[in-house]
Amino acid sequence: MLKILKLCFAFYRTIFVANLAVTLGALYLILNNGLSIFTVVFWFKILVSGFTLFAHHTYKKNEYFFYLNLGATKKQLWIFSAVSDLLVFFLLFIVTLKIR
Amino acid sequence: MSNILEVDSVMVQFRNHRVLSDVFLKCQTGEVVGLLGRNGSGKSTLLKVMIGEVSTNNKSIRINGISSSDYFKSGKIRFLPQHNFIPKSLSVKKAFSFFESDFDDFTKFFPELSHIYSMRLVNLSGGERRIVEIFLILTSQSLFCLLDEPFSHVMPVHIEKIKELITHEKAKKGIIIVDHMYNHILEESNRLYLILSGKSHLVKQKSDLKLFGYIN
Repeated sequence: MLKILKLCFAFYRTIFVANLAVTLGALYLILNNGLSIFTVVFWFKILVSGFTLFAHHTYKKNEYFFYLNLGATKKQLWIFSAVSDLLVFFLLFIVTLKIR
Repeated sequence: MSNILEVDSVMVQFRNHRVLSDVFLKCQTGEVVGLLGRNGSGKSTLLKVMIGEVSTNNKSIRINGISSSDYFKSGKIRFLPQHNFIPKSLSVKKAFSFFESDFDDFTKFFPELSHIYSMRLVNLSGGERRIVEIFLILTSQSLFCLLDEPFSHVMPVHIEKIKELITHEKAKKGIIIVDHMYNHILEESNRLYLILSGKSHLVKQKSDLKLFGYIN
């Protein structure tokens, strides 16, 4: 199980920068426009993160064989990434609220 | 312990084009099985069917007579895809750690690559990356290794080393190789199949390849 977690983390690292950029962009919008646009920004963030995973799956599909060879499934990689991404988003969202 | 991998009843169709229709393949511990075929004949597709990456209702993958579609997931089968597959952002050290492989063993076969241990894969040449990948798949704890074009993008001296490695590893597992470099396959394989018109044909001698129109 630990190995699968390490693999999921290694996978998440490959899309972390792109997802963090989207998160920071989304939080910047909230910082400037207030909480009223939270719902729109949140769904925009979800949509773009989904697109990041889709793009990764399309353009780096060969890399999946690394994780699959070591026992991780695509579903595990995607779920771990989605959950981690949301955690980062909400953590930074709380920080943004403190800044405001 | 000797294990036997058998594949049959594989039928794969993409839209209206039937790629594989009647394939039988057998490989056991201690054997290297070669798989040849023209471009687009379905060699790589067959390997992907064996690991469950190409789905089809018609297939039977058995190890020691037991049919399952989870042999890849459980690590009994390992797969080397046609193109580089280890994420470039990883270091060689990390890749070896994930595969629980020993870098000292690697340097016994490839002493000239002993300096790459702390490097990231992005900084290696395509051939060097390929050698690392082939080594990790071949030496991993599995019963069978499926290698898709292991000799491509590798220089001749290293091809010889890879062949030595295959000979070394086949004592512990069965190895199936797909490649167009048929001379190397002929040299290495204990059994050879040619896929033609979606069917597998057992090749007994080089002249059979002429007969099937694979070589002139």
